[in-house]
Amino acid sequence: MSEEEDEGWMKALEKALCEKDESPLSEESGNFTVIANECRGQMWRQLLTRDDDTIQTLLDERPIIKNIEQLELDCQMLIASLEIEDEDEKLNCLSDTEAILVTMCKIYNIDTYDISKKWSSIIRPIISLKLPRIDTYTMFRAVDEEYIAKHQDCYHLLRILLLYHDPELCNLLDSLKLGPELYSDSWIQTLFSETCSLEVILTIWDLYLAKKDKFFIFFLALVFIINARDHIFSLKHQPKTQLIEILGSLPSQLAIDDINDFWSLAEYYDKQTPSTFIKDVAGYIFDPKLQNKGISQMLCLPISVTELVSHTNRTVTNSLKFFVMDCRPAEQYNAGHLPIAFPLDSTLLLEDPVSFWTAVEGLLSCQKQSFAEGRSGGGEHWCFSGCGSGLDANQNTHMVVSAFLQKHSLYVSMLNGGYQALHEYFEKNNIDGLSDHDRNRCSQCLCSPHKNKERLTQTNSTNELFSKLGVAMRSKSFEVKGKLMDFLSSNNNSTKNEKTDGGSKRYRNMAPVFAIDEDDNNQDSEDELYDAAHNNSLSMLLNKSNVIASFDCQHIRNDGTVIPGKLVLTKNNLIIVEVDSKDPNKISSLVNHSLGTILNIKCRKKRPDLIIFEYSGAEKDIDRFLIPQSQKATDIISKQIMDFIERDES
Amino acid sequence: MGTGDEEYDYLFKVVLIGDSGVGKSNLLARFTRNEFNLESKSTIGVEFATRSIKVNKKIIKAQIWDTAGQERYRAITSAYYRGAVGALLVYDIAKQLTYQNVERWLSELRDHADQNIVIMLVGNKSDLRHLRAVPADEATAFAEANNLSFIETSALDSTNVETAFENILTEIYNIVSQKQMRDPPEGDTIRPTNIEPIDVKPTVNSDNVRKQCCQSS
Repeated sequence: MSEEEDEGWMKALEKALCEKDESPLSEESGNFTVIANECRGQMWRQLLTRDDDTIQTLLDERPIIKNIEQLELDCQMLIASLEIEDEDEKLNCLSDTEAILVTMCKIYNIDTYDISKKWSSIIRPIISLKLPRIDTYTMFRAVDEEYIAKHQDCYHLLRILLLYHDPELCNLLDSLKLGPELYSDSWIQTLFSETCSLEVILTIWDLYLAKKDKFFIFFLALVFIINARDHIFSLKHQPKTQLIEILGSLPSQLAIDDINDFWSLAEYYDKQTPSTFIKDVAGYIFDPKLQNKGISQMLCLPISVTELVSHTNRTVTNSLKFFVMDCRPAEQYNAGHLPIAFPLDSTLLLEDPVSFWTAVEGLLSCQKQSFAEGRSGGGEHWCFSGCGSGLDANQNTHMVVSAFLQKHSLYVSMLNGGYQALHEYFEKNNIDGLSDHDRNRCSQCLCSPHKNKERLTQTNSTNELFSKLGVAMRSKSFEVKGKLMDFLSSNNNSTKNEKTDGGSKRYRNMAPVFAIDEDDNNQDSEDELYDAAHNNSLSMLLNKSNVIASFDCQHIRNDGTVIPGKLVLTKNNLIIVEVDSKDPNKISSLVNHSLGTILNIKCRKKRPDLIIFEYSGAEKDIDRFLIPQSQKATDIISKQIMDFIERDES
Repeated sequence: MGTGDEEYDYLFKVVLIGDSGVGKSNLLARFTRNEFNLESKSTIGVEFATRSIKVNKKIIKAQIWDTAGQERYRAITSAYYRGAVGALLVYDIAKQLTYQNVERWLSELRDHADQNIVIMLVGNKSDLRHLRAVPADEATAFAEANNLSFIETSALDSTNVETAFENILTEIYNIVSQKQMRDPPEGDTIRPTNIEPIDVKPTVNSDNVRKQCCQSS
């Protein structure tokens, strides 16, 4: 099984690029610095400092532990597993571990050593550093206090993240009644130190502690689960206990060479996840004193109004693209809505399911189209918005969300508080952020009539596409099908014209909250090659005669940020261009790699659009990209590299 | 069969509840689409389907809500009990625990559903005779003691599925129509003696839902 798994884990597309390179595998680890043990101690000590007033306890007299034999046994097993040669050192480590674990019992005020806390596993990487006892103790305390989840809801958090990134797999595991608590407890409770080899866990902890994001453990766990996807589907008829064992031991297959890829995948999932839920709502899982906020009862990932607005406004770096579905009845949508929100009347699902699904199909193709065109509002992340908060008010929205999840839609979230929260947010911040806002009909305005009467009822004219679609969708139920289809078929031809008719300019004069269609120039820029005035122009670069091919891509930097850009292939070079996030024609950085320095192009079966380039040279550099249609791109590039090598040799 | 938009005289909202894995979704699929899936997936949140049947020459459209049995969806699904005139409380005859939990589901209904909701206890998977863990007479006695009707079904081989839905819809219809007879505009009909009055909303009131949304602030 492990061989098969290794293959699935990282299917390297070895392109036989350079015969001089004999051992590409051994050089893979070059990207992250392998930290020597002495430095590691220093580094961890810095990352894990905390004011600990319990150090005195360590030096106190030992308390009585009822099952001290168990504790001693665990410590002996642990020390034996470290394979320390020097006998004195071995004894030292053993007595340190025992003393620290006994002290922990005292601090937790328990007279029985609790095996389920897995302390001996957590302390293993720390004790292996052979630091003074006080340091080991402080660091262990810090890990236990800061990084170990204190609440059972952490498994629900993991499940919700899985549901967001792989609903089909999540549904399968749900159907098999395999909750994350059954297989991932040792991952989360020991930060993988129970399941991974020491060498691997030290490197993972280096990165994890340096990242200073304790929630990142969930994305690491997510990588293991999603990577085993095919494996899980093929094993679904196996007995449950066997499945649990297989799932639980997934991290043990992680090799030191895989860590780089493993880490970048986790960062990718992290970046693709709205963050407010984790940081604001789920924060309590690390603090035993905080109240349960009921993650266990959530239908899907919730997203706050503030976060949605900041993503749609692109005021955050790395903003996610959202496709917002307003699930309220049509007349409420017509009295005010988020400019980028599409109306999807959830009552239609009850009254006329056929029309509802036709409407959804229409929206889906519209979503694909606007996403492909990079339009704001056309996103791959779904956000469903209901009326307000409360289960009753959101009955129909929940029903729609359930239906989408049942169909395994990716990236499904629900707007926390719905339209009510949105409305409050804009009122509070005095932003005119709603479209078609009619204060005489808007349900929220009618609820609080005393406020803002004097403000003008203003109707924003928004993106033509949206309002057109709105009209098609507003006329309820039975006509929807025909209208929507008409609209969608005509839309392909009409969008281009709409862009040039000055609609977006009109919008800009209105002090917009939502920068809709800022990207429209995207399309035109390539037609305007000759207008490229300065050297920073991407179009001018592309127009140079020696350019063989160019590919849209997103460059993933080492810190995980994703920058849009292009890969430009010339006869002898591969040029990595990053463009300005606002102006896709403006080059913000440009790196030139000779084709001869490219050692390896790797891609993984599970994420075919994630491509890794490895370069030779002293730095052992790599670059990671998201490339749509990566197959085509890598084929052309590797062919060019082969040509280059041939030319070089002859 | 199916979800047509045909005319109907009554629209009844019925919920399917019970532990995860007892076969609620398959009962619904069998009744509304005559389908059965041996490898069915766990329901996420709620699903719903409709089918119209004829009772006493009246067309009754049943709007059946299939709720997820898993604990994690309890808060969401219980919101759907409101306004339901009938509930099929399903357990698995081969799994004792699902039968023991019937009590819990009854109290869920008491907490969240309308007082006069018609409840039918359904022992599903009657095809698994060799694995039976809940004797039929035990369930019958329990149903009688709690004023529930009771039936055993098999969504797999279709046994009693049609009957179960027909029975509960007929029962609801009888109560609704008797109530209408009892309180006609003229008020001049014979009152049946042994019928408890029941307050049933014949349709799902979508207006209601809309209003709630504005009031919930």
